[in-house]
Amino acid sequence: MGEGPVAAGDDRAILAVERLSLSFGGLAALASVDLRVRAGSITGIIGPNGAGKTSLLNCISGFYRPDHGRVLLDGEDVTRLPADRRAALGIARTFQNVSLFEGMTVLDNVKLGAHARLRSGAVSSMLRLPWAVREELRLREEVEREVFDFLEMEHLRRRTVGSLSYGLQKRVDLARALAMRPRLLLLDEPVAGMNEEETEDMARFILDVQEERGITVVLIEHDMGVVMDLCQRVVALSFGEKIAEGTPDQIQRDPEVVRAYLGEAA
Amino acid sequence: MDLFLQLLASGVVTGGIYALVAVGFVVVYKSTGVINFATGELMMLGAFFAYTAMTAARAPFAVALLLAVAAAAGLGALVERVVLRPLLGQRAISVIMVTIGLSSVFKGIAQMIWSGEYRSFPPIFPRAPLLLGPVVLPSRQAWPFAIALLAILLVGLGFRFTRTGTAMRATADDQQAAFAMGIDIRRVFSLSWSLAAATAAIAGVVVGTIGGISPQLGAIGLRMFPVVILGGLDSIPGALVGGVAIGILENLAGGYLDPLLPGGGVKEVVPFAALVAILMIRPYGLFGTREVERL
Repeated sequence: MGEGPVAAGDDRAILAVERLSLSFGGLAALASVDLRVRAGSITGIIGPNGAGKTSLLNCISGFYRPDHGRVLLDGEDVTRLPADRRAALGIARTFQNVSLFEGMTVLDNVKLGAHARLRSGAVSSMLRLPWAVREELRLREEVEREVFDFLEMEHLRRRTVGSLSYGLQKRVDLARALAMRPRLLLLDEPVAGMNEEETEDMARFILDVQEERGITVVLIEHDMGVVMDLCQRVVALSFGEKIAEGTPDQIQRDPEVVRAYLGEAA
Repeated sequence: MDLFLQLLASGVVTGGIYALVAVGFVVVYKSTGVINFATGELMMLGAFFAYTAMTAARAPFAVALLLAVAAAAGLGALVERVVLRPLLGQRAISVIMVTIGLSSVFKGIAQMIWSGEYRSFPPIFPRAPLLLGPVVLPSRQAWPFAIALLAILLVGLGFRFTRTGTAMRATADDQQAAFAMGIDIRRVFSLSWSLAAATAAIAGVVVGTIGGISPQLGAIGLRMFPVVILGGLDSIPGALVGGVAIGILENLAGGYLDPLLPGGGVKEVVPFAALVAILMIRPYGLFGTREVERL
């Protein structure tokens, strides 16, 4: 491995994955993977197809339950919590193939991201009681400022998601995740399928999310240019095992990584 | 002309009630993707609950209706928790088979408790018929129609404007995204079954006040397929439009064609002929979501 483990007492790890293993009917998707993510950083997860990247992300967000190992968020063990509870604790994610509420408008999609943070119950919101209305208005204003202005998508508010280009749909996916006001944002191939311009926009937004909001980002990406530009740290997986970890430079030169990508011959 | 208007009016009234039954299907399908073949039997149980409250406990109709709704909602949640949740993630066909099984179980239970005997509700509504120009609506149809419309309106508004309704729509739209947004989808499933059972109970009471109740009342559930398919399985406005359209079609066909045939029965056949036509032309219904294959 390129570099020694993160020293104890180093910057706080907002996310720690400890010896995580997951198999699907005898096929090991993850084999004892360790990962520590520093608060406020952008960490990239790379690896060939089938390396276990999305499985790892799913274990962190609660979509899969690992066979062994633990997932700690800010030191708190969340391994047993279902996805919705983890979302409430501040883990937000986007999906590899955008997974939006297609029949709804962009605004409704984004507001749903903030849904879990609302407190007024069904009855008071139906009766439009003053506090429910106030809360709704506050949420609306907050979403406008923190999400629509931030991601430059004011003009999309009323559009139906299904009518947007793929690149814009991915931006809505990010917007919805941001509306959750997460501590930890997991992005599964945020620029996949995008053209050059869309990729640049998305990369800029991800940097802004980290720099201006201080949100910790973990992203899976095949576009090495993006990974090298954005990430402070990169983890390489191959066949469910972590084969390297380090700075983008170290990873690019790591012989194990080169071999995993190019095959034994290299 | 008078005959036409009369048939049209009866069609709208029957259709409103069909629509309410259809809503029971839609609510479950919308959020869980399951076609609940026990909807008719939930109606039947709802009708018996209200009947028992009125006869055994001498409850006034409104109270009996509310009790039936509450009992059915509880039953819906119980069924979801005990029978359907363990099947989460199984193929839709398995779950659908289970709902068919449930319908038999409910019928059997009703038979054991209330016997197969045919019963009628004690008189409930004022007797005066509703007169709309040349059209006469018997009060035992007009009132149930009003109740059905009100119930549909409440469910529709609830879906649209409450937070829980939004959570249900979101879950219907994309389960994994809803889960990632922090929506408790197990709660959504449970609520959907409660809501569907409650809606079915109202529909059952409404149908029961018109035609009486027996364990066979649920058979009407299966006759609702033309309605739900026409309107679209996942659309509440669709259920309303589909219900009224089928109601009118059925009444007009029955009114004009039945006298020409020795056996009659056109009323029963026409909706299903329409069903076949709809499936050929627009299989996702008038308002349903068109399934798009994604690569």
